[in-house]
Amino acid sequence: METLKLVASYLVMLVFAPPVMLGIITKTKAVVAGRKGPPVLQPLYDTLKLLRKGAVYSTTTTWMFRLGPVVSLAAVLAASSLVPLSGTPLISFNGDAILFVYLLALGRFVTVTAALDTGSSFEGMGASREVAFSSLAEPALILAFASLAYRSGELSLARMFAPHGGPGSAASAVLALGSLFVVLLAENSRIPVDDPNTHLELTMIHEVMVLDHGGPDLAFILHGAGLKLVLMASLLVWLVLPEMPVAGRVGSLVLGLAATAVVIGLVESSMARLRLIRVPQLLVAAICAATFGLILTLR
Amino acid sequence: MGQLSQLLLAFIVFLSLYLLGSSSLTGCIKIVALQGMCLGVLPLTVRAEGFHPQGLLLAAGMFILKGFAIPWVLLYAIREVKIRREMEPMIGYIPSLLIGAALIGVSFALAERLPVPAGLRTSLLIPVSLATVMMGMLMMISRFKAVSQVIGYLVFENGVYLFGLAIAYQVPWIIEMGVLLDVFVAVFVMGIIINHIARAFDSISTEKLTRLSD
Amino acid sequence: MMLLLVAVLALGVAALLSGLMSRHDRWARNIVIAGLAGAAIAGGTLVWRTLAGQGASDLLWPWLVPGAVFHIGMDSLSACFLLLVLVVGCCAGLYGEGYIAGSHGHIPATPARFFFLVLVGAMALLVAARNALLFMIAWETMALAAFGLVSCEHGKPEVRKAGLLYLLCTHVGSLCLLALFALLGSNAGSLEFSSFAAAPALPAAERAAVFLLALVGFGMKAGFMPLHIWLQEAHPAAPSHASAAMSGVMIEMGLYGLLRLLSLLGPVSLEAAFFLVALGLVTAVFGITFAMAQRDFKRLLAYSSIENIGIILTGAGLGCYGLAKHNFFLALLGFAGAILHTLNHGLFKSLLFLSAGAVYQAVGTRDIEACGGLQKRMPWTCGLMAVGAAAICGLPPLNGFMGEWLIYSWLLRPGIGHGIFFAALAAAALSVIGAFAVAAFSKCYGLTCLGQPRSEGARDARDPFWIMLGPMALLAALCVAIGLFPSLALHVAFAAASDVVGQARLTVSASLEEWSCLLEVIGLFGAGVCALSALLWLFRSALLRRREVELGPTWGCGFTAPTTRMQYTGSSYSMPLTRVFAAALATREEVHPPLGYWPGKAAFESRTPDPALERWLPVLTTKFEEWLSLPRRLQHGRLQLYLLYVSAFLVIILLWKL
Repeated sequence: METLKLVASYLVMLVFAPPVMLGIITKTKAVVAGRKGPPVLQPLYDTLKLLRKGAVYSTTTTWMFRLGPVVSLAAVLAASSLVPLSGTPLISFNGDAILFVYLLALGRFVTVTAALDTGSSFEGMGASREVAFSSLAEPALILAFASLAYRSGELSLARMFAPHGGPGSAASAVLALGSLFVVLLAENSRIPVDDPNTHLELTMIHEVMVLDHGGPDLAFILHGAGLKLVLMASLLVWLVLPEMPVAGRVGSLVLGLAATAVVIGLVESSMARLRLIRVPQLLVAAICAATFGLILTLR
Repeated sequence: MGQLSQLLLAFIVFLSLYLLGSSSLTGCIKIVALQGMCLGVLPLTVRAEGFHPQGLLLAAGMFILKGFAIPWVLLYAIREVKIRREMEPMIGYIPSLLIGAALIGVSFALAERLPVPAGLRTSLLIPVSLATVMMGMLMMISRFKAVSQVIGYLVFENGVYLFGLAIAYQVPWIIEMGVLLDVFVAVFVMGIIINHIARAFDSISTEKLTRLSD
Repeated sequence: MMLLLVAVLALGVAALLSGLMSRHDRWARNIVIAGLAGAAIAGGTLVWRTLAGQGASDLLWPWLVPGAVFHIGMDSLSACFLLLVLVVGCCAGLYGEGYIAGSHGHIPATPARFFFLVLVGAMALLVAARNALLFMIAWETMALAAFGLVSCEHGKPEVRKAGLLYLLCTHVGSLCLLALFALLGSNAGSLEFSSFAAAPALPAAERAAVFLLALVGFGMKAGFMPLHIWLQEAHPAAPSHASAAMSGVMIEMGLYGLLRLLSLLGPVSLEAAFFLVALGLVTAVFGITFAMAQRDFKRLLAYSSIENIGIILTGAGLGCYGLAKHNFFLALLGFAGAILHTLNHGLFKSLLFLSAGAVYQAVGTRDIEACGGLQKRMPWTCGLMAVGAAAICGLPPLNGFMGEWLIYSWLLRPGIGHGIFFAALAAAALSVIGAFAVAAFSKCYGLTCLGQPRSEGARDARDPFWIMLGPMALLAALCVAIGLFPSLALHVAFAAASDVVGQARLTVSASLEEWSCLLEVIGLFGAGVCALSALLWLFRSALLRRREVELGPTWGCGFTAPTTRMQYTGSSYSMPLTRVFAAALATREEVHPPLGYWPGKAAFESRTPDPALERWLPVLTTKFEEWLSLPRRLQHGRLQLYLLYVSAFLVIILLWKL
């Protein structure tokens, strides 16, 4: 019965959390800009609409193009089972944090190759930027994970991000939090790294890679991207949440995700996109901050 | 050593890192101002057993001087000499950041070996002050503009202040007042010098000063 | 033990016969296949028996060579490497037959066959050798056979240059090994490996000398960072099946040598372990950064070999750290990670080299910028290359992840002690390497196989015959199999690692169970990803069945007349990252931009030379040349003076000795 409940709540989170979180971000930006904005559930409607559509494939493309969205969504779904999305994770073992990072890399690899399959120069450009920026985001992620792993003494996501009180923990946790937040922005193509709403292909990163996808494929990609955001945001939320009984954990996670979405929306409304050559600098700064956090953890 | 002061110290180091990666001159001055404010608040969080009136006074003085007066002078200097508001680094931003991170590591390693009283060994004050001093030096070494060297000097001085805070438990406010006065005068003099360099050479880059050597 | 002799003999006889039968191509080919099959059956049985615990006793034959005994033996470490030699050797050999036939006479068949079989045979003998002299003989035979393979197409000047460079490097390495064994032998009083282990400990200075000599001697073959200079030249020059065997197995023999020496001489110092880890990471970061900047896909693969050797060395260094700290669990974990990654690297790197060879033969160039659109024209080759590329990036459902995961788990384990901060930095470096590998191999696979053809050659490319596809498919299947069911490979790696560590097998076998469980969970997880993908694929097909699915041109963002040459190129693909490392890469660019209102021809050329070969080495060699030019004054062609030298030398010798 317990497992059934766990799986059910997981399914609800997997289906509804990504569109709602994206919807809250859009709503926040609209409210800050003085507009009314689309309904919060709009991304869900979009996904459902895309699922009911046909598809157009470029004659250049091969099976790689069709495989890309499927595998990338599968990778993110698999990664989600390691993250405690409903209080406890579905699967947890010592060393799953590394698996999590590499599952995200798998998703990236297939998305990038699917983009290259179209032969479009714009999509090649997007793919090139994606691999470049995520190569710099990944060490920041690993360093932050390392400091949390050393702090908790375990290398599984559920334990690393569990509440922990100890000397010197607050400062290092805050630094890990900061660098993880930058990684979140970079990996999920948010401002200041990438603008999801831009309309000029030359300036896009993630969106330009999926220009040729349509119908269910695009729905998979959008949902996968949203889910990736939810996963990383929920890690941030678990890092901040204090110790609490199991019953309250799901509710506070949902609230925390909503709050994170509002924060992302505020960041996006208050900042401009960085020039592309400045992005590596931001990511290196995240690496430095994570290193500092690590030093603080280890003393 | 409460959690709050640890957070503040981490934030101070983070601000120094930010300085190393920032390209805007005015932005840098504002960051230094913020760092100064943090320094002003810091003594209040370090001593948990209560506030001395003198300590409070010093904190207020620091807060105003480092957070408002000195930045104001610098901003004024920039506005007056009408220079381009970019840092012009000699070492690129990414290498500076990485060197900065390395310096943090070095200062923590140094702090382990420094012969300090046992109570200080666990404190973050010593390593943070060393890191701040080193990053200030790095700023001064790796940037061309005179204004950015003043900024580096201010960061350096912040580090010295932190060190003083660490060694003398009873805030040695007389010494600190002296140091502060020195800094204020130094910044004033530098502001004037910057003005003069600008007038004489139509630029405030210290590169041009090397011509004076022969 | 006779089985090993049978295997080596089968290869040797096949090599000779195929040389004799050079007039009858069909016969020669059948002989090669028969020889490989014989070696595989005999060697495979031996490997199986050894790993199953029924180890055969050593074989000792008196030998006419002074000071040497023909002594071969087999333990798990040897068996593990022998397995790699056989799998990769047989796959590459079979493929080589198709490759030689497909080259239309460009590759001379007889030397290619002869040297290949000799190479495989020498490596099989090498891993079993238990006597330093026998080891050196096998080592040199291997090195010379590889030289023969590298300079197969000696009509081309760049091939001759690469061959000479390789010969030079391998001999420097061999010299160091000779000195090493002389040192060990004089201490032990015999050239038997077992006597090295039993000999009294060396004084500190000589221990350091042994360490350095081994590092240079074996590192030259393996390609540690400043010693890698021959690698990126030799691999593109050799025929592809030879590069596969060289990169997949031969360079790993350097690692085998180091591990064997460790098992004989016991732990190195803590500083040396730190040094090995640092050297491994530097090698790996260097290799992958330069791989990213290459245009020639075989060169890219060669640099990625350097990267993987670096990862393996990191693992081995971590094992040494464990040994030095007397923490046998950590030692075992580090060595197991290194050995598992060695096995995996042998599989996916040879797969990549074989598929790159197929692409080279079909397109006629190794330039990534001239390929493209091959997936439609050679679907099998490109599909298999995709598997190899994903595996080498260490992506989860495939085997590359397993070894890296072990090394990560070592590094991020709390409570290692003093070096923990460096461990975290090493983990970060490893993640940089992994992410760069994604960049480099999405370039290697994506720009070569996907998109539209950029040249005539790419337009007319076709898949090769089964004799080339079959071995590639087998290697790819092994990559997937190890990825999904890693516990067997892990047990092999642990068995080999415990041979390196020594007696630790008994004390930590309980925790090994835990690790193999974890890896099995990861394998299941990979299977889960595959199953999820299949489910989603079915879902997608069901959705699309009732809808309209159209075909059309790629969306050109409003531009209506795109040509295939407007696609993103490999150089531009890697530019965002190569710009960040511009100072280190020192890419030379020659730009002739379009000028004026009606621009004429524009051109852009870039080349990333190897820094060690073209920047650092010349600094050394010019100094050395100056030194060497001093005694050149003695050489001037006058007979009388030469006679004087001879007599003077005689007199001096007499004076000194009498």
